[in-house]
Amino acid sequence: MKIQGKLIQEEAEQKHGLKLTAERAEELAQEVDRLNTATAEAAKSIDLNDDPTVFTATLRKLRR
Amino acid sequence: MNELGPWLESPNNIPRPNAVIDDLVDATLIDVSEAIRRGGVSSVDVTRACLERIDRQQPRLNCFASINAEGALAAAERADQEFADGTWRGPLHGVPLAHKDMFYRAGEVSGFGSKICKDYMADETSQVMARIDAGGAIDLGPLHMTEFAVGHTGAHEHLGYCRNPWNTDHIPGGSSSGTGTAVAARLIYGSIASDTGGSCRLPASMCGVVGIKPTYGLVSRHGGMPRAWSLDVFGVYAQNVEDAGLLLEAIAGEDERDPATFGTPEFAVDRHAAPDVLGCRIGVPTREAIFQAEPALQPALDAALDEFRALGCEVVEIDFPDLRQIGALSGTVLLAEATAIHDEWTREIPEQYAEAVVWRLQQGRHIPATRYLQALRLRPKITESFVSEVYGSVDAVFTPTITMPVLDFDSAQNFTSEQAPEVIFETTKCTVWANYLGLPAMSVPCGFTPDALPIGFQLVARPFDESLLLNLGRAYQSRTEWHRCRPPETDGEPA
Repeated sequence: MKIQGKLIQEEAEQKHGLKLTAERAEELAQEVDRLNTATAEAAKSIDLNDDPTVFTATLRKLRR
Repeated sequence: MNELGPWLESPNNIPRPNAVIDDLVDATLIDVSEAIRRGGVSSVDVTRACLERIDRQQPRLNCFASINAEGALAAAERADQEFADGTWRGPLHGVPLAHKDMFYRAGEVSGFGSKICKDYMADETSQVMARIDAGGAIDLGPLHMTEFAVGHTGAHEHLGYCRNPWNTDHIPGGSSSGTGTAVAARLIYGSIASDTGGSCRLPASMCGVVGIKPTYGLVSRHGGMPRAWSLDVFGVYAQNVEDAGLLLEAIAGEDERDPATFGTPEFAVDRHAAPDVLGCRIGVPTREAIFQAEPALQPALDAALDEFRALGCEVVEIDFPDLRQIGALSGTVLLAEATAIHDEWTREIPEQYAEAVVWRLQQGRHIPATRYLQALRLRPKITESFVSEVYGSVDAVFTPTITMPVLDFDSAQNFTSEQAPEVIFETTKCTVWANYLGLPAMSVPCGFTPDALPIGFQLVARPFDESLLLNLGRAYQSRTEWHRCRPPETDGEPA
């Protein structure tokens, strides 16, 4: 389900104590929805043991 | 006239001209370094010549945040005295440089291109500046940067616009705007900057110089302004690849204060070996729409590939994994981390930021923590898969650094906040993926558009393969002259 500006506006106020205009909230919603959807889709391939802290070790392992 | 030379052959066997003081403006970092080491010129002479050029060009280009003429000349005098006393610290001894205004120096202001931190004074010196200082380089003053490294044009509400030296109506790129401009205009012999999504490569391409973003973890980030911890790297700018390699060597290496550098391989450049790229396989993702350059750029990019073929490289077409997905994962990490860094200030004193900057720094509040961590959890796996898939068959990937010609300020800023994400994507789509994957990348000048603005290509290699990038770049520059082109000192003068 697409993230709506109203949700962003309420989240900003309730979680962060910030007031956003409806227009600004709608702009934010578009970008957040794009990133959220893409990350959620990519996350389907995540395994229980995928550990973000091994990134630099991975780079060292991949050197020629 | 003082003789600077004659020179030995350069490492890539191009005989250098017999340089004289009047040629300092066209001298490279290595030219000047050798001249100082041979006693043909003093650091004070070279520093003074740079300051004179800066004095002439700063009003037109606005590439320095501030100029430390007095301190630089005092440091140059110390460097000369040290040399006279028998100490030569290495190839940076007495060479004038300047760096993006984001590296801490104990007791000195680092402004980050911001109003908020215009008086920010760190209590310790960054690792990269400590290394550059230990090498004996002279620092001419902090360079212009976009506010907190946000933005890609060089337009600046507080500091004024930094301008492209090839045409001051045009942008130099960002966020290392002053770095690209100052190196291209021959005001300094090299610079240290940062790269979170392309800042060591985009201004390099737009200004016609070399920029290198090293592998994540090769260079310590301790003591530099954070933009997004997981994506930030510190890299180098120079007139040519050889100089850039020398600077990278100076700043690379393990640092106990930056865990990302733990176990990082030793990095050293053999400048005296001719670059051997025979048989090197260069992959070109021709079918990837993201890398389709506009017609004004394509002939220069094609010609660059022809040079690599002439050098004995094998140029092959390759398919690429989904870069839009990598771009989105990178964006998720960038927005979440940048918002976390700026949360308090954007909440308490938003009026202290430029409107467009605070706009971008607010976005991450609405990225769920779960998505942020998923984007990070995917990173090792995606990187491993990408390296295996792409670098299993080629040694380096060739792309444009940016697919569009250098924009003028009006065009570059002519978008609504709603259009901003797409504009940012279009600007950084060729570069940002290397940050998420942690790969080393380099932008090299390869020609000019019909309206005399620079074009650059990008080479990206597997982790810690900076030596290959340097070899390819040096070999390319042994056959081309684009890196020797210097912008006019006044607008309207033919390039």
